[in-house]
Amino acid sequence: MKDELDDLRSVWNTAQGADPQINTAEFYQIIAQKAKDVYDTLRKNLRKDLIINIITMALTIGVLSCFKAKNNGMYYALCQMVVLIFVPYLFFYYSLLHVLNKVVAPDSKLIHSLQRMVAHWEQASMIIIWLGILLSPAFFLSVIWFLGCVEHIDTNAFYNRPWYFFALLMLFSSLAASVGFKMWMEYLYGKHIITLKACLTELEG
Amino acid sequence: MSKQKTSDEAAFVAVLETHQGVVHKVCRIYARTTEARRDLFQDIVVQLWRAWPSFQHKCKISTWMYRIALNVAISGLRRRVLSTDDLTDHVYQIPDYSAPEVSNEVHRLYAALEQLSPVEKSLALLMLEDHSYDEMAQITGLTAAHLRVKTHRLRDKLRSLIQQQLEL
Repeated sequence: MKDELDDLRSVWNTAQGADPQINTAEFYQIIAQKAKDVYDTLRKNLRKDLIINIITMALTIGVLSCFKAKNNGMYYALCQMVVLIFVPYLFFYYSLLHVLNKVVAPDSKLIHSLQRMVAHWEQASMIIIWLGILLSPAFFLSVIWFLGCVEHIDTNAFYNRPWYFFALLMLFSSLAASVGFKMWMEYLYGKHIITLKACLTELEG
Repeated sequence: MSKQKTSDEAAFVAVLETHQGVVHKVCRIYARTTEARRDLFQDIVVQLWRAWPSFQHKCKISTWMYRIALNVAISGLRRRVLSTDDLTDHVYQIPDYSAPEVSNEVHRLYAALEQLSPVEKSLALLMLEDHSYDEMAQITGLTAAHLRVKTHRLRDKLRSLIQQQLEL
């Protein structure tokens, strides 16, 4: 068995001789580059998302001030949208950034690095899923109120329904959002998480 | 650029030049095409440079380099945005192990290694590099006993894969 392994090592070492030698200038050239890992990309996307939301918020505030004098109902509907959607969004933005900033040290032992990365990804996906679950009913109700104001639909009829109507509405929209966001997360990061988990299971097994 | 940064860079590049074999070996086992190897090589070097300030000489430099290189190759600590021609081809010519001039033995070994999972590749690499179980434990985080079992299984698997190559 030992001889066999020695043979493999000898073959391996034969191929090693053909490796290129990178010179000092080339190394300086490489380290001057800005390679981005997956966390950098996520943080960048998150920042873009925040900027888009701030612009939307600013535009909404602008619209609010125009509508205040003309239509009180619409004004309050827009106020509700801002408070119920943007404020929780900021909270989730901060939480997600906090998770992403807990960078996995690249020189960790392989098993620890995999464990932490799997935990990070799961935490990040849970935050995004909960963001969807909590924001979708708020968004749904705000849109109904807003449409009621624009289209002059009797929103009181909608809001005067029994409490279990709202409970069911919340439940269904939350479930739909949860499924939707889970699918979205799986589409975006699922393959990566599955690969990491498979590597971890294999290493631990 | 500050003096401190310049001397850090010089020290890092000197270390890298001496131990670049570690990075080449990881690239050789994880990346199939020349372009992929070049990309992986650069990703690893950049991550090594990022981690350089936190290197505290508590372990051998090669152990530290293996950890980072394997983490980059396996854990997906990478999403490159660099262009693939950052390194000029005439300087960075990576041999093609499937080329006809490469010996049959080398070809068979690489064909067998290619069929391993990313985790198995890392263990195979450390095994072929004749690392002790303690060194392997420092890189992977597994216990020496666990590694003994795993490398034994891996040796059998490699043998059977090479045998399959011979029968083809």
